[in-house]
Amino acid sequence: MKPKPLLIVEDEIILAKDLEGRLIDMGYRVVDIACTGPAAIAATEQFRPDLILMDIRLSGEVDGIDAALEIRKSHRTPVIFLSAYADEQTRQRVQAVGLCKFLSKLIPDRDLHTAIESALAGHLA
Amino acid sequence: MLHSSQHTRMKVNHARRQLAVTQGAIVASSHEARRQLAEAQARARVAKESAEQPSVTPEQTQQILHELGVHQIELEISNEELRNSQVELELARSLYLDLYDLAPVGYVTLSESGLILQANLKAANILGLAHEGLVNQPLVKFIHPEDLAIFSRHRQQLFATGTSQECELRMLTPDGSWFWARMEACGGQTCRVVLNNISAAKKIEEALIIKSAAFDSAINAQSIGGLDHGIVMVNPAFLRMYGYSSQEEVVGMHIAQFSPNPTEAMALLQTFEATGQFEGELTLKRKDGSLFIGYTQGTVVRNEAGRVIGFQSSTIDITERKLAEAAIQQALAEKTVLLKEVHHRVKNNLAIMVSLINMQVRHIKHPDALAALSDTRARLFAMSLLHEMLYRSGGMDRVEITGYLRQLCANLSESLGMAAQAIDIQSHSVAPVMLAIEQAVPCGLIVSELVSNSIKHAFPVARRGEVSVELEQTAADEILLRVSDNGIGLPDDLQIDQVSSVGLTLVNALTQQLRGTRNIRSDHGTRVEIRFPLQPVSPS
Repeated sequence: MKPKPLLIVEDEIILAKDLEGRLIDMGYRVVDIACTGPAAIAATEQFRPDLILMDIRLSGEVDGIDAALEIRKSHRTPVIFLSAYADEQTRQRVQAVGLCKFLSKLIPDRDLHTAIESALAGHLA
Repeated sequence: MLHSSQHTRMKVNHARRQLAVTQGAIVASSHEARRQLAEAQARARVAKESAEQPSVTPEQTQQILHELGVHQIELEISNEELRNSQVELELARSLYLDLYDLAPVGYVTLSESGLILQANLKAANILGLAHEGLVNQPLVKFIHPEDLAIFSRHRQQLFATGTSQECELRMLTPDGSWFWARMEACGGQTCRVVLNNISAAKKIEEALIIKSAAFDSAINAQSIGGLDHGIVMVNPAFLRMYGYSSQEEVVGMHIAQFSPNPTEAMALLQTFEATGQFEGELTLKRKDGSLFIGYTQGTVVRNEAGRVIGFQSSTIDITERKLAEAAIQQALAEKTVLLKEVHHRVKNNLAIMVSLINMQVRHIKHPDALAALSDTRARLFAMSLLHEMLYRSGGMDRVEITGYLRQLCANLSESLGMAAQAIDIQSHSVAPVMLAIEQAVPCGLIVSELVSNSIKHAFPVARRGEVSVELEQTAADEILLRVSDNGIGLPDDLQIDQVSSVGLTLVNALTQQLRGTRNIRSDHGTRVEIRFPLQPVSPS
């Protein structure tokens, strides 16, 4: 089976590269690593990933949630937010995106794998 | 020889004179006695005159008797008048006694040299002496030594001006006590003095002076108002606080005029009147229209009968305090943001280090190097996770330890290849145990070492078994952390103090850092207990 294409949005390149390695180990294909919101929007347009793993805090004006909202206007790509952000306001903003899930960056591989598979299977609200 | 009628008149006149001489006696004695005395004297006189002039005609006798009868009536009238005068005199005397002696003020008449010539009962009473004890005493004897100058000045002014003079001074009583007196004197060299004990009034006056001074010197802006909510009186602090220059400007102003929102002020006044008191923060308006924030306490004022007669209020200007509070709140908010940023950075950097090791691990094949890197990664992860949780929680300086340990162990079981459900985390405390960051880091590292050790060594066959992490707040200030497994236990010949593994070294060092004690048991598995005093965290 052809590996599923995923997009990583993360401005810390080392974290992104590590995550890429972990995802490849899980059997996925990472189509691109975007470091900013606009880059994420552009990469989605360009690579049409099956799923986006998105950091919320990004350098620049557009954060991960805003980027996801923009992407959502033309794509129904599921988004898994990876961040330590957890305050109520952030959670509400995440809810508004739809088809998304919120996970800690420190999630063990096993749980991350389960979450990705579930999202790819269309189980996100 | 006198004419008989002339003679008769002379005799009557004589009798009249004789009777007039005896009037004093008649006045003094009773009516009956006087009557007897008069009759006796008349009889004696008639007898004497008969002896001297035996030849009296019956007409003459008749005339004499008539004259005598008329005169008797005259005398009786005169006597009645005298008796009435005496009654009036008695009345006047008792009136004088009443007015003078029993007057509610003390009267003293002084000689030129200041000796008491006469004094009424009240004066004696005021000075605590018997009535007669005052006469011929110098009045100066009763003046308090410290007020002698006042008395002397009073006397001098009296002599110099000749007009009535008043003074207030302290006077002494024989028992050594003193009282406040008002002295009013008039007359010249011999003068009359009115004395009054004004101690009670003086006491009230002094209390009023203190009250008034306290009102005037208060730091709080104080106001007294009437039933119509108009200002009756304010203190200088009020004038300063509200920017007015005199009482006159403020008196009569309606209390709502000191508010920028009179409608709101009127609503507040209604509540105030209903409850009888008010306490709270108000935005208030100065004369120039500028605003300030005041903390005001007010109550209605009642008279002795309990009827509301007005209100009083006291205000302090808390504008600066409010600004300072706002600045503190602002600073606190900024500090929280900054602290959050710091935790985020620390967490991120630790996460980057974990990622660096992850990347390294993928390229290493040597088992010892792999194990060393994995252990280091687990330790870094424990710290990174803590900072993430601190960053997530509102408190910033503490973490709910059970939740932290649960996530920590989930990661350990995953990275060390053990089923997550095989590690049981239990908190035996009713309330969530909050640990300060200084204790949470060593606690997390200890658990990481002990759980890793159990997973790696307790179950050599298929790595199946149970690891349990228990946390208990045993006393108000002690935490018991227990990590146990149902594995093979420690080798019988193992001298725990001789072991020099990095893991055990870390556990010992961190236990020491927690000022705790460590206890290791090997009995149906291994059980390690760490007890350490709970460091109090400041209220969040």
